[in-house]
Amino acid sequence: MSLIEGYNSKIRQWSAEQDGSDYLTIDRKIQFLSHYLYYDFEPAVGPYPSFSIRLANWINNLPNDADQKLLFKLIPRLFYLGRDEFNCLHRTAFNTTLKSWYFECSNINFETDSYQDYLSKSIHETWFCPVTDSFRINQFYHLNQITSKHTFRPDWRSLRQFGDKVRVLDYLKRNGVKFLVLLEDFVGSGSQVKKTLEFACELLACPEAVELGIRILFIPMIICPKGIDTLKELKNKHNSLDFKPVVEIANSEIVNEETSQNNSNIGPYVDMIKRSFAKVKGGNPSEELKRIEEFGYKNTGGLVVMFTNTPNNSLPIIFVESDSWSPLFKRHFRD
Amino acid sequence: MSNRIAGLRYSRDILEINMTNNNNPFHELYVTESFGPDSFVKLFSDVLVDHASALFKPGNIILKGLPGTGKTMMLSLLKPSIRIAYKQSNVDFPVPDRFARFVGAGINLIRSNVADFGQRPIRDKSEINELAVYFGDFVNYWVVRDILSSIHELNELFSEEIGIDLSADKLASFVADLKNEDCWFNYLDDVHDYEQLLKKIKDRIVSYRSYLHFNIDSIPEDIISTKTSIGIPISKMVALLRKHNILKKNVEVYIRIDQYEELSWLDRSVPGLGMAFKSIINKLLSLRDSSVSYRVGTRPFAWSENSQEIFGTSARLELLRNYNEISIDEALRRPENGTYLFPKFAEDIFERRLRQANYDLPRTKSALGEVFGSGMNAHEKAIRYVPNSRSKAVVLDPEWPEEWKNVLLQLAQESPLSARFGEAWARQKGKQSIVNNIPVSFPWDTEGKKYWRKERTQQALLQIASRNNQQLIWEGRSDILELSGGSILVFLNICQQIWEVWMRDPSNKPSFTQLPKISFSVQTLGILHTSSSWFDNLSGMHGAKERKKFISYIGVLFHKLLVEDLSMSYPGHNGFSLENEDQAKFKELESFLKEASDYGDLEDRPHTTKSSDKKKRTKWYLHPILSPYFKIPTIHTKEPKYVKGMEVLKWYHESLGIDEMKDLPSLKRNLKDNDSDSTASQTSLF
Repeated sequence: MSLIEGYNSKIRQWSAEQDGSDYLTIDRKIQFLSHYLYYDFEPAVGPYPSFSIRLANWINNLPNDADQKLLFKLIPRLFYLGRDEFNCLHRTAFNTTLKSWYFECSNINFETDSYQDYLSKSIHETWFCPVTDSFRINQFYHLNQITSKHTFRPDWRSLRQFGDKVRVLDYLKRNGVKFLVLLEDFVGSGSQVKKTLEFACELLACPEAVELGIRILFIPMIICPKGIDTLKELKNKHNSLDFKPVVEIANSEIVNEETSQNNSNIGPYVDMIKRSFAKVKGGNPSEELKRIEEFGYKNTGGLVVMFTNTPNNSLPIIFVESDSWSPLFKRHFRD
Repeated sequence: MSNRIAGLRYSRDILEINMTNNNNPFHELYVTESFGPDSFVKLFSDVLVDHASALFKPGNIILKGLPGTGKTMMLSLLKPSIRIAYKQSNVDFPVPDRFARFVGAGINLIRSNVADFGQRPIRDKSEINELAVYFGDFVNYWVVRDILSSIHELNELFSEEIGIDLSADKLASFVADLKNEDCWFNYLDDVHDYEQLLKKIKDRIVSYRSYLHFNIDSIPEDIISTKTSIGIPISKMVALLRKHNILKKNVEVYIRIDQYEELSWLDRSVPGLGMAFKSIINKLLSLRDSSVSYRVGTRPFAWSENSQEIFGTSARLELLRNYNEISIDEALRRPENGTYLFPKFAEDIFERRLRQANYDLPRTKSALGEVFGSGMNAHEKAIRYVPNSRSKAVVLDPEWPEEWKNVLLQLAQESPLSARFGEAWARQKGKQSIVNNIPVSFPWDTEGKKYWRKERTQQALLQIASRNNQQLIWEGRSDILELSGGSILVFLNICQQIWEVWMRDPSNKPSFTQLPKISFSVQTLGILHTSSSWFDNLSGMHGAKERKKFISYIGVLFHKLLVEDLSMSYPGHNGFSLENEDQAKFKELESFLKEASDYGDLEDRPHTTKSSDKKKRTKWYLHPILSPYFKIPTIHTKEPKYVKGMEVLKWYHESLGIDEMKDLPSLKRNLKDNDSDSTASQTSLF
């Protein structure tokens, strides 16, 4: 029996059970999503198994029916963000999040006659940069039709590592920057962006920069609850920093031991994930895999998959590829 | 959290979607809505043309059919664009030559947006009847314009064949006469030539649309004061077309009015509006004007006897006097005995779809059989239902002698199905002695008991599968035809879903030429998906919530009855039979059941009873495509469950979670009436 035949046979078999038609409904939904949404998953473009093969392999990762059913039922609950969803996030970040922030930074509002001039001027005085290289800053400029003098749009994580603070300050001054808007596609625990944002805040807090009066806005397109906590702490430390996520993942959409305390539906998943973790990591895990915990980086327990990659804060059962585990949406690791 | 995918996507995605799905020859279910005339020529099946030949003869016709039965396709044969496509493709037009001298025109009540007439009053206090007159005026002008447009379209290729002459002098004299007809109320007075006539008609339609879309503040005064009477301008114009020899005398003019059921929906937004608009269309049919014939395409429920009022009168349309009916459903539904058209129709459509997708088709064999096979036999299915232990095909009565038990267990190793028959035999009245007097050859296996076996095979298989937690196997040509229940939409949906499942396996990438042979497991899963989504989609239509609950209730009930009937004495309990007299006592129940039948959720058939009273009965079954979902057989065998109206009413209430004795006091009276065998009519179901 081929892999796909095995998968089909499972669905057929499960559908014979009490309330088994639910499995048919989920299967149809998964097939629909595979046609209309999952097709643009970049780490699977090229010589990599198709979604249907990945799906069958993924379900087969676990030997018993009950666990396989849990994996199967998890798929429609994944928050997959395709290219178009990201386009919407970029547009919302610019038109809603950013513009409302400009008003918060001034006494001007939509009822002020000159509000359009103010917005145009503010955009002109803004330097939009990514926090890490995973945010597609060029796409952000294109989608929002931002005409800018800033042809340099470095990611600040690299800038922190290799940049010359004096030259950065000089650039800000020469270009009359009043607003520094830092963007990121996904924030899980917030630990990665924290250092970079601290670097930016400290840079702008130095005496030469204070007189420039530059405010910083950090806009993550998607953020998990742990990331929100981290950024709230950071904001309390730095007056010049604001942060406004576009989409906040609710705790109810997080799968880890903490959330299972309040939601009995999550319990079986937590149990299955813990039992399977050794199999997920496999016999010879890479360095990054060794750092990953049962519910993802810092046990965030996310269900997010982006068309560009799967965050390491999502559940490892979704993205890990090891000698004993096949991923559904493989993560392309940085290192 | 759900993925947000419902919004509009960009062309890139459409391309991706097409790339994903265009290998499925059944991806598009409705040909007429998504394919152009050229594809229509390739995909249209002429199998039904003979049955619907009255469409191409003078006289008004009501073409009834459930959604997806092919009404719109049949009516499309009247469209000039389709006729031209046949000519240009060098394919014979499916209508016989002797009936082909016609000009077709018409209106699709969905595409012409007639529903907009309910969205904005024409004047501050427009009454429904006044709105109906405007609606009739709109239809008149739309159809008049379409007739002229059709004549022009047909003129280039068919002027000789049909008999069309559009010479300038004839058009000029036609216009001069036409504008002077009283029916226009002087609206055409300023028309002086044919071009002006076309423009004037077009302007009126545009004015209506502009107003209904809130683009202008009011209907222009010259329209308000020149409203026409439904049908009259159409008749006058066609008569003049003939008089001036633009159309030869023997050229018929057929006017399509498609999606008539659209008018029924209007009642939901403005009560009474749909009924009023229907009475306008009915008036067209009542004109009995030999110059034009109307063809109304409708779902059965919309064409009910109580909605055949004629606008402005107390009269009603009369069958045969005002119109004739063609029911596509009846032609395609399997009769109790004998052959029927559907298999040929389905085969033809199946082959056309595959040919369109560039597959090589077998020259002699049926393509349907080639792809789906002829289906495995019952013995083979039974063996597959007991994958772990064949002895689980039977349930042994603890009271039975060990020797008999061993016989059955041994037989189960050889043939689980035969063992299950043996078990049932020993449980049936008058046959139980077999457990003590075990015969050398088993009576249920004899030729004489062929029908005993046949009647119980599906029930036996269902029970064996159920005992072993196995899904029923649905596959092969005959299962697929049976499950389609005479609906080409269901048939295409089944094919579509099977193909979808088949394409999941990347190793099944179609070669585009060689027909695949699709395994039973793929077919079963595809059919289960069709059945499950069919049930899910029951909720989309008017009153569907109640129907869905009722269907679900009786589906589960039938499954339970069939599984728990260990002696297999009632293999026909996948349907129920109601005495017509009893059914009539429960007016609203009867109407509920008939409506469910009209929507295609239930099937009703006259029941020739075996009861001694010989009273007329009707038997009711679920649509066959719901069988896999509820795990019940499709076959209508033996006697359905005999029930009283009160019992069905109880099912209805229980399906809705209503305690009728508590919540519906009026039913107490009903119960009393029925208990005393009163013929008093029921007061209220709902």
